[in-house]
Amino acid sequence: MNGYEWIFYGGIMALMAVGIWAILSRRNLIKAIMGLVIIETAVNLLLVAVGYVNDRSAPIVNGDTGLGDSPVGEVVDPLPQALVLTAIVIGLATTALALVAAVGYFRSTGTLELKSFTYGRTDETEVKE
Amino acid sequence: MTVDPVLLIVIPLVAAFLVPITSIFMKGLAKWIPLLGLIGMAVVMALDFGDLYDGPVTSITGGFGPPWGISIIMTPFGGLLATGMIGVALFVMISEIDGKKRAHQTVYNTMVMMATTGAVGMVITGDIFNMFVFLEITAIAGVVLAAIPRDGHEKGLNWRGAAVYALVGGVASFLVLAGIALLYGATSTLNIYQIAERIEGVDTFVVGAAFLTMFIGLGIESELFPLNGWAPEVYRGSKWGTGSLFSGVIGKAGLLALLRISFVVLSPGLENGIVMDILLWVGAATYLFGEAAAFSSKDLYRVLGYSSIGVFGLLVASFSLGVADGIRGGTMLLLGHMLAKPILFSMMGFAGRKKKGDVPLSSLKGLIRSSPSAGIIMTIGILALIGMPPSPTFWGKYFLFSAAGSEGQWLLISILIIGTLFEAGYLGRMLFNIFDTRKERKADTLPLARGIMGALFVFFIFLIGFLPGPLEDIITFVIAELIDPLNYISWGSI
Repeated sequence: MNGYEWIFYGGIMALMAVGIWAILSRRNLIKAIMGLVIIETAVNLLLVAVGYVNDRSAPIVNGDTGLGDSPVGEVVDPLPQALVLTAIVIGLATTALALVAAVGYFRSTGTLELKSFTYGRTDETEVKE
Repeated sequence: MTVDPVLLIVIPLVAAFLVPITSIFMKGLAKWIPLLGLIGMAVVMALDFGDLYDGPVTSITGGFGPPWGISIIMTPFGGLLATGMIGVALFVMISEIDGKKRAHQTVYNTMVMMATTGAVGMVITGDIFNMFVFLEITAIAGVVLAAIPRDGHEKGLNWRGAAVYALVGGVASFLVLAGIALLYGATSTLNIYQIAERIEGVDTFVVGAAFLTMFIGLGIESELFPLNGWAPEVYRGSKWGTGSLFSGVIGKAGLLALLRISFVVLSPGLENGIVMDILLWVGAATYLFGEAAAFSSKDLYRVLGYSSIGVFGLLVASFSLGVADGIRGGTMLLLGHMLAKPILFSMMGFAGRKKKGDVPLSSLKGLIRSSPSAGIIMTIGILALIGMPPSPTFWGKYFLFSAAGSEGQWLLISILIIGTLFEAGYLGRMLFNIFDTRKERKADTLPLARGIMGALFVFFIFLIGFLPGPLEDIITFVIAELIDPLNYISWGSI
């Protein structure tokens, strides 16, 4: 890896760490969902990065290339870009669904704070036997 | 006769799509579509099951064979698990046929079909990105299923469970995607068998990072300690059917994906045995944690939820021993759990259906007198879960103990014994309540469909318990898949 790649991969890792930190440390649902979106962005960047090849152009083919004039040696790997497209769409659906749940939670409890996100606790009345 | 296994994905997906549409025009028909879809899947599976005795059943999609297109590779392990998943989904859908109107029924039916699509897809696909898409389908269905409240609680949706699972499930799938990106970057392929083929030349750092992200992601899905904080939130507020689906369908898909990625794909690229050691001890810790938490919980929904967590740990530990008997035991435990847990969820949902809020253990009191059939079915379910002979769980624990003994894993054996004691504790309390007839309780008839499905699963428990022999040929393939990656590679490249 050269210097630029280190910066790129380092940035991705930093973004991911920010997202995970947001989810672990924020009890506010909207802020936690923002953390989720940051993680998504980091992963999408990672996907594009693994398909990147130095000094090559975008994998867009103009007109008839024919077999003799294959663009394979001139463009970056197109597959990760297709994967990113799928991942963005899926990410949109997940984010929308998480926001719907957050709105529902707010309407039923009057707050966006998820209290005590830990094991074995109850915020409703305990069972009386 | 071989039928294209891709139908196992197409049928439920089409059914899930048709349910909401037909519910606008023909409400009567919409109710039956999921059932028809599941029966269709069961027929396809029944026709293909015989072929699993000779090895995997494969299918090529879009006319592009490997290594170009997405191929479906239903290994005998995947096929066995898919059969169980279809069985659990059928159990959940048929048990609720009682003529009663339920709130959110259309959404629930759609999501059951989507969860089944995703889970079956995850275990039979041969493409790692395809697996991620199916993981997302299951996660999204899981969020909606978690939100749908129990019968009698229609007004308050379980938003908390849904929000928690949406967050955690979202993180899980994107971590898995990060692992996929790393593997693609290192091996330039998305076919699972090709990644396995090329993994040995890859930098250990990259393989380690991929293992870490995928272990966390799939560990969340299969409820492993300490990644399972979401599970009780989901189990306690949702329908009994959702609990059965999470423990019998969604979680099991995550489990197989975790085992396949760890043992077939990543293990050869890392230092000898490290993947197995990590999974073994995480599994053992999960078992101990789940059973102890189940023992100390008072709400029955949570008891069964934690108990499922414990079983997931036991399964991972059992498969990760890396010896034939461990895998044999794991497969038996898997079948035992898929048969016994839905029975317990269903009967508990029946006994506690009038309770508002938590369902205490005492709601089982006198069940054997108020509803003898429910009491008997539940008793057999409880005994089968703890491993009374003859039950699949008995064989599972027998093989697991002998494997752990022959490997000299004494710490594991002591963890297993302590966990089993906790298990005996809370299941014993349940039994005690069922047979406690000191207080009079009004007679209560078990709905016919629920009784029939319960009796059917009891029959399967006895069938496999008495005659585990016919499964041995399939289990040989399970052992082959998990012990030697070369087997999966040769199955995939055909």
